[in-house]
Formats: sequence, structure tokens, C-alpha cells
Amino acid sequence: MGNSWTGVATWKWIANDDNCGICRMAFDGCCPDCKLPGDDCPLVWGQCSHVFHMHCIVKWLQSQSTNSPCPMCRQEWKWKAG
Amino acid sequence: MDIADSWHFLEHILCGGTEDDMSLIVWMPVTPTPELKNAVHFLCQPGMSTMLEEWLYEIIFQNLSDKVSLRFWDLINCKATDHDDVETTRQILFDAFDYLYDIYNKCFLESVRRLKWLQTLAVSAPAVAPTVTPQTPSAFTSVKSRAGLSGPKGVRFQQPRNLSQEICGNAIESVVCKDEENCDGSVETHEEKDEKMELGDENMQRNNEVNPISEEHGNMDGSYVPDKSVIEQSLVPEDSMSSIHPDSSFELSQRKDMLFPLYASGAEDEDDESFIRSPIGGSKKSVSAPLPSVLSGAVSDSPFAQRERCQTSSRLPALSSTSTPGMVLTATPGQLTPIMAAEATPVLKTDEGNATSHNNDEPSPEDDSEPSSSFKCVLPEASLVFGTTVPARPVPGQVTDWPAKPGSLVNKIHVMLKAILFYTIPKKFSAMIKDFYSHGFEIYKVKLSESDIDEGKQKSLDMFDLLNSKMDEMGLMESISGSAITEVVHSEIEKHIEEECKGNFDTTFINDLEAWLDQHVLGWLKHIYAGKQTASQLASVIAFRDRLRHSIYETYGKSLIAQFFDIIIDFPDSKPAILDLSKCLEKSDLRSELVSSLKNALESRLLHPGVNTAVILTAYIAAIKSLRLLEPAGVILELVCEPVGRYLRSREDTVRCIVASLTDDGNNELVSELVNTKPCTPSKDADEEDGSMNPRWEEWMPDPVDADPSSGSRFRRSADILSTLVNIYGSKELFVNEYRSLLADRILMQYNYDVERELRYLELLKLRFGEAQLHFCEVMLRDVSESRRVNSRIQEACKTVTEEENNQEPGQKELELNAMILSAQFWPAFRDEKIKLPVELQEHLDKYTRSFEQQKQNRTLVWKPHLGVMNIELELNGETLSFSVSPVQAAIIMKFQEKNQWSLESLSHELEMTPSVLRRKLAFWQGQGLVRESVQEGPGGDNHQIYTLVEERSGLRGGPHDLLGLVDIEEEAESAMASAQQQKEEEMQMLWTYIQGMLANLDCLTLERIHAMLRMFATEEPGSEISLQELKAFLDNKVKDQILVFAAGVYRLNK
Repeated sequence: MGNSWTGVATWKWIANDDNCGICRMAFDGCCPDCKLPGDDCPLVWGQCSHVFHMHCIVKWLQSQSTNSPCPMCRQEWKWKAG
Repeated sequence: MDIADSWHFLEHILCGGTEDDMSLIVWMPVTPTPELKNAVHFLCQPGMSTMLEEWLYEIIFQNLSDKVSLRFWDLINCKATDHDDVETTRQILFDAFDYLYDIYNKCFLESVRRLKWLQTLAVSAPAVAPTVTPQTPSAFTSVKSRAGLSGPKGVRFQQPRNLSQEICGNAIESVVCKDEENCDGSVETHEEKDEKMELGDENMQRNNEVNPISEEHGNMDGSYVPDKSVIEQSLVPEDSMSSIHPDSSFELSQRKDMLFPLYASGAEDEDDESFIRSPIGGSKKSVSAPLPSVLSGAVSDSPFAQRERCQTSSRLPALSSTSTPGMVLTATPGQLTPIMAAEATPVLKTDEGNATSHNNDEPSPEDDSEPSSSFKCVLPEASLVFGTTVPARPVPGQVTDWPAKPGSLVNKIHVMLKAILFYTIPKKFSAMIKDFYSHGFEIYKVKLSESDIDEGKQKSLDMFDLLNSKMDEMGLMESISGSAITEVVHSEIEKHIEEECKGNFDTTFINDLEAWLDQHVLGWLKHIYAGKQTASQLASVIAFRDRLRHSIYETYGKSLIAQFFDIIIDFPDSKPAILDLSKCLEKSDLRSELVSSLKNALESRLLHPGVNTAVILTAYIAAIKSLRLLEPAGVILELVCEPVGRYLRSREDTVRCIVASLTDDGNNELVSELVNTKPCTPSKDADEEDGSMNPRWEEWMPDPVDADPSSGSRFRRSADILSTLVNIYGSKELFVNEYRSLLADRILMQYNYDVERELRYLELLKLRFGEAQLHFCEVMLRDVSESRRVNSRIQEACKTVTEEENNQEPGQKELELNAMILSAQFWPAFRDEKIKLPVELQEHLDKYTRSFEQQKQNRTLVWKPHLGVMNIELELNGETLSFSVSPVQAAIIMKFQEKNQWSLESLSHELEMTPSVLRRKLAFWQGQGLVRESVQEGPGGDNHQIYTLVEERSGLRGGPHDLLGLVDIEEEAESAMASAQQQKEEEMQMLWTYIQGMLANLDCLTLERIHAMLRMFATEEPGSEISLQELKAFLDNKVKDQILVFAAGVYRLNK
């Protein structure tokens, strides 16, 4: 029975928070520098389990002169692979 | 002869002993007797002339007030009833004026003529008085006039030869020879001849410095020949003394004035040429007093009459036959009113009047020929043709203070007529006059349109002309018919515009109207006022033309203004009418009327609840377009459309309507407006703000006076329709938001991935509203195209999986699942609806989600099961039915696959839907005739609604499902998005936190204070554009919910 179905869904990052801790924007949106969400403005996970917009954390890390702590927990930021 | 006798004699000459009622007068011939001579000398006494004039004036006054006035009004009143037809009215008027004119012409004017004649005699007399008076020869040989007054009488006057020769030496004869048999027709030519002869005489006089004297006088028409020539001759000795001076006659006239200062004004009234020159020129003209036989109707056409004519018409120089032609143009005032007093030459009128008054029915053929012949001498062609002042022939002693002669007795009579008879004009009378003129105009129109008119019409036309000329002659035209004619003309203009132009907006009428005005109205006015075609008459009619043009512009403008709402509605077709109106506005002061009347029309016809928003918008757009065409500066537009904008703001669906029509497929005006929009270039605007030189500054036009000085004219001028519409709300944001939800609806209604058209509109909108505002919409469209990409990849993956596993039951078609994957942050809030899909469907979703998660790492999908569309085929007893339904409905019908009968409760439990929503959804299937509702009594006495799948569907066809079909339509039309109301509530909820904070800190606040603070602090929030009313409603709801307390004008938290 039935042959086609066009469903509607919204996509969503699988993250432990809704908003980016740096820019305070929603993960499902994009960082302030971006126009398009999703693939163009991805999220990154640190080993400390904190999540940020990639653009935001990169900017943050660049602005830090000596070490590069996670903005949330002050541990050294380490990229979580994949 | 003693003074009393002389006075009595003079009185008798003037009134014939009928002072009490001059209408009874019988004009007797004046015979040149010694008594006359004595009387004339008596008249020479200082002051006598004036006294006599005043006496006559008094007599006329008494006559007018005692007799004529009463009789005249009797004539009008006794016959006139309230409902007369045109014919009777005309006849009554005609009779009354005929009577009046008769008295005026035959009694008053005649006595004035006689007075003048006497005065002339008196002026001439004193020169001889010292020497000759006692021995003034009696040079009259009276030929016995035939008894009765039936025709021109021959009076032979034999100039005593010896006397004339004795006094004057050589004589140049200037003979006016008129036989006894001379009749009316020949008078004019004789007079012309006279003129010529006068000229010749004059030249001769100047050359020879001699005083010609008429050696022999011809036969006069009048029954007597006055002794003027004798008197003139007797002047010669004095004259010859001064003849060494080239302009002796001037001096003479001055001397005369000195001698008889009181007579001076009278002398001025005389035809200057004939009068003043006569002492020099001798009697070129045989002067004879007229003796019109009034009762017999004979025409008084003696040369004296000509002089008389000049005298009476001297107020209008154009008509004085001997005055210089140049005077006409210099002395004629360009009268603005159509009313010209006394333009015609009384003598001509006299002829005409006499000829026609007694046989009204057949107008004399001379009516036409006479004026034209007289024009030749009155008004030389040259001055008309060249339009320049022809150098005046030097006339010694020419009186230059034309045209006013207030002292003239004829003028006084005119004033008396007006003052006594028409000091008040009864309503009925003015109504009659008005009827008379409007009827006259009707006939004139008929005459213009048809070449030949019937006898009755021609007759009324003639009567009309005759009455006009009579009134004209008596100087009554202005006071009696002036307002009537003006009124008639104006009402005719109105009528014409009403008939011709009303309701027709697609042609321009200005030129037609002007042509009509020239042809009909001005033609008619010329007919009335300028029957004699003199320059002054034409000039005044032409001057009146400008007024009438103005009036026609004004009337037409008013008519257009009254219909302007319809013109707006007709807009593209009504362009000619709009252009006409703009011409009318240029020439008349109707702007404020346009603004107020259009405002009223819009408010009463457009801005009420019965009109739907789309119609208002269409009208608004048409109004913008047409008013821009009418006035590019846009001031009227701004003034008129302000209420429309205000009203539209109060309608909830305005924005939606605007946006919908903006992106409508149909041939919509707004779409083309959007497409044609040029990207705005702010840099250029900035330049102008700087005050740098605008290359087109020469074309700059100031704003109209009613412009609002606070708003810039450049903005007004440049604002196009769309920005005007957007400015209804004062912000773009609302528009953009509305567009967003409209776009969302469109995408989720169609469920195809074709967004090309939407992209095009988006680009256009971006040009206008700017990229930032439409960013969200851009993301939405990108979601759609992205979904398509992702979708096809997932489908491919699914297919491979299916092929690999190949565990599907054969025969059952695979449900092909496509998905719209949306970025929730960028879409408007979705309508929420809870449902638990059947396991089979949920499996599909889960599978899809899994493959999505594989593709996009760390991302997952949140399904909106109530959105989307499902094409399903149902097999029912071998019959295959296909439906396109929402997933919820599909889920419901799938449940009936499990069992045929469900109670509402159990089904709602199964699907996790609220029973009320479920019932609505079920109604769709009921409507389709697939499910039947029945009520079953439960064990506890409750009623259970049982839904049963219908096996024999055909039996139900045509049943109640038709009615239920309505439900399904409503269902389908439901938007996928949360309604504006719901959105607003959400925004309000955001503000609520602010308000709570405020009230917690500050204890209590007024409504205004809360509003102001919200504006200050919560500007970032999307809902900060809340109006005071909305806030009040919101807070009042909170009060109702007992969260807030409202007391003494302040809100506080309910603790």
C-alpha cells in the first residue's frame, strides 16, 4: 500500500548543549561570521566534551597567545577526532 | 414775452403739456416763431439751461415712478402666473419691455432730444444776442404741414439769401437734400453722404479760412426747419474774428464753455465734430429737429437724429459715427462682465424699434443691412483689421474724457430706470428672465445644430434679439439680465459637462469643451451682446471668454473630482481623465477640494469592513499610480492616502496580501513593479543631500503649498508604489517576516524541490529590502535544494541496501520516502501536532534518519510527522483508490488495516492524538466514504463513538460525506506554519520576562512606563515592536489570570 511519501524533518546537531559557548548562537544556526548553517558552519568537539562552532573556537584559539584553553573549562583545548 | 411765458413755452416744447403722463404725449411740430426765439434767448440766461434740464429730469422721474413703473410691473404681474410655459413668459416679458421701451424711446428720449436741441440753440444764440437779438429775422417760411401725423412732412425752409450773403460772403453749399418722400431706407446713405461732405467742407474751411454757409437748405424730413442755421450764420462775425487761428474752433468751444459753463457738459455730449465745427463750417448739415410722428409710427430719420444718436451714444466712443477710429481701442475698457450698457446706437435702434415694434411678427429686413452699413462709418475697418490705433484725425476741441458722462441726461434716465423700476427685482421676475435666457440658449443651440429651423423657433429667436436690443438701449441689460445670463451660461456649462463627460474617463474632453464653449456659449453671448460686431463689444465678449474658460475648467474639474474615486478604480483606462484633471488643477484652485473629496470618497467607499484587503490594496495601488500621474510631486498622494495607509495598518492580513500579490504568478501590478525596480543607489542620494550641484537644477519645481514641510520632497517624489506600501508599516521587518512564512507555506505545500521561481523573487526582493533582511529566506531556499541533494544520495543508499537484503515481501510496493530537511533556526515556528505513527511508517523514518546520520556526521533528524504529504493507494474490495493525504491521515487509515472497527478512545490512545484532533482527521475519511461513524452504548452507560471501515463504499456515496467534505477543505488549507497570532504570543512571552523583572524591582508601573521601558531595554527582541494597545491587552490578560494586579492606574505583581 502506498508509493511515495514526502516527509518533513529538521536536522539537528547531536550535541550536549543548544548554544555555542562562544558566540551564544544556536548550534543549529551558524556562527556570526557565517551565513549558512550546517555543512558550511560545522561544530567541533573538544576532548573536554565541550562543543563549539568551528569558526568560533578557531578564532578563540588564535586570539590566545600562550596556551589554548577551552573557553568553558580552561583545560587545554584538544580536538576530538571525528 | 415775459419769463413765465417763455418757460411755459419751453415746457410745452419738451412735454407737450402732458407732464403728468408723458405716455399721452403727442409731439407737435415746433414752429420757428418769435416766441421760440424769445424762449431761446431766455434759455441763454445763466442757469436757465440747467434749470430746464433739471425740470425735465424731475418730470421724467415723476412719470417713471408714478406711471411707468406701476404699469410695467402690472404688465409683468397680472399676466404672469406661477406655472407659465416659456412662450407665455416670453410674451409677457416682451410686452412689458415693449411698453417700457416705447415710453423710453418715444417720450423720454424725444424730450431729451428736444432739450438738447434747445440747448444747442441757446448756445448758438448769445453771440448774436447783443447785436442781433431784437432784430433776429424771422426767416422761416413754414410750409403748411398736412394735418395729421402720418408721414414725413415737407417743410420748406427758404434761407433768406440776402441775410446769408450779407453776413458770410461766399458760401459753400452743403446741401442735405431730402425730399418729402424720403423714407427710412435712404436715411443712412444720406447721412453718410453728409459725413463725406462734412469732411470736404472741413478741409475747405481750413484752406480758405472762410466760413461756408449753406446757401440753400434742402427739404427737411421734419415738418419744420429750425433756425439753427440762422443762428449759426449769425455767429459768423464772431467766428471770423477768430478765424485767423488755425484751431479757432477749439477756442470757440472753449469760449462757449466760458460763456456757458453750465452748458459745458451738455456741449460735450454733443457730437463734438458736428457741434463744435459747425460754427466754423457753417451749416454743412442742415440741422433740423426731428419730428417723429410717434403715434403714426413714422420713422424719425432727420439728420438731427443722427446728431442725436451721437449724443446719446457718446458714452461709447466706438459708436459715435464721427469720432476718430483710434478712440475705439484706446477708450474701450475691456469689460469683464458680459454686460455692456448702451452699446447700440440709439438711432439705429430707433429705426429698428419703430419698424419692428409695430409689426413684431415680421422683422424688418433692414435689421441686418442697417447695422452693417452704419458700421462702415462708425467703425472704419482699418482699426479693426490692424488692431492698432489709427492716428486720430485732429479734431479741434475734441473731448477726450470718454466715455464717462455721468451728467448726461440720458445717463440719468438710465439710472432712473434702474433705480425706480428695478431697485428690487422680484423673484418671479428674475425667474422669468432666467427662463427667457435659457430658452434663448436652447434655441440658439438648435439653430447651430440644424441649418434650417422652423418658423416658431425663428420667431422666438427674433423676439429674443429684439427684447435684448431694447433692454440694451435702455441700459438695463446689466441690471436685469446680467446675472440671469451668467447663471444660464454656468448652468449650461454644468449641464453640458454632465451630459458629455460624466462617467467617461477614457477620452480627453478639454479640447472638446473649449471648442464647445467657443462655438455655443461665446457665440450666443456675441449674439446677445455684440449684435453690432463692434470692436468694443467683441473685445468684452472675448474678455469674458477667459472667465468662461476658467469656469469651464473649474466645472469640469469639479465634476472629475466628484468622480475621482471611479477614475482611480478604472485607472489604466482613465488616464485621459486624469490628465484633464491635472490641466484643470493648473488653472483653478481645486486642490484642497480634491484632497477632501477624495479622502471622503475613499473612506466611505473603500475603508470599511465590507471590502476585502486585496481590493483595498488594488485600489490603493491604482490611487498611487493615478495620483502620481496627476501630480508628480506626490503631495496630494501623501495627503489623500494617509487614511488608507492607516486603515490598512489596522487590518491583519494586509502584509500577507501585499506579499502574496508581490510573489503572485498572475499578471500582477506589484510583480511588475518589483521586477522593474531599479536597485537603489544610496550614494547618489547622499550627493544630493550634500547640496552638490544637481545638473537638473533648472528643472526644479517647488513643492505645492499644501506639502508637509517636514518630509522631504525628494523622498515624496522618488517613492514608488512598493516603498509606499512598505511604508504603511514603517518597517521592512514585518514584510520580511511575512514573506518568510509565506515562503515556508509555499515550500511545504508543494513538496517539489523546484525553487527556481522563488529564488528569482528572492533576488528581486533582496534588491529592494537588502540582503541582510532576507538572509533567512535564502537559507530556507538553500535547505530545499540541499534536501534534494541529500535525498537522492539517501535514496541511492537505500536502494543498494534493499537490493542487498532483498527481504522485502514481493508484491508489496516499496514506500519511497523523500524528506525536506530544514534548518529549524531559519524557519518560522512550525505548527505543532502530536502523533505516534504506526510502526511501519516509523520504521521508514528511522531508516532514513540512520542513513542521514551516516552521511552527515554528528547530525540527526527530527521528524515532523504531521507535515508532508503521502500519496497512497488503497485497495478496497478490488477497487484501487489513490489519495494524497497528510501522514497523519495515512496513519489513521493504516490503523484500519489492523482491524475494521475502532473506538475513538482506543484509536486516539494508539496514535497518541487528542480525541478532538483525531475526530477532525477522521472526518476526512468519513468524507471520502471509507469510514463510518456510529455510536455504541458502553457498559457504563457512556457513549462510545465507533468508527468502522466501510466495505461497501458505493452504498455510502452521496451520503453525508458531501457535507463533511467541507471539513476536509478547511483541513487542507491549514497552514503548516504557526499562525501570526501564535507567533505573537510567543514573542509576548519573551517580553513577559522583562515585565516581570521590572515589576519585581520597581514594585508598580503604569502602562506607559512599561511600554517605554520595553522599548528601551528590549529593542533587540523581535517582539519589541509592540503597540501600547497590544501591551495593554496582554497585561489585562495577566490581570485576569491573577498574575498581575491593576489598581490606581498601575500594574503590580500579585504576591
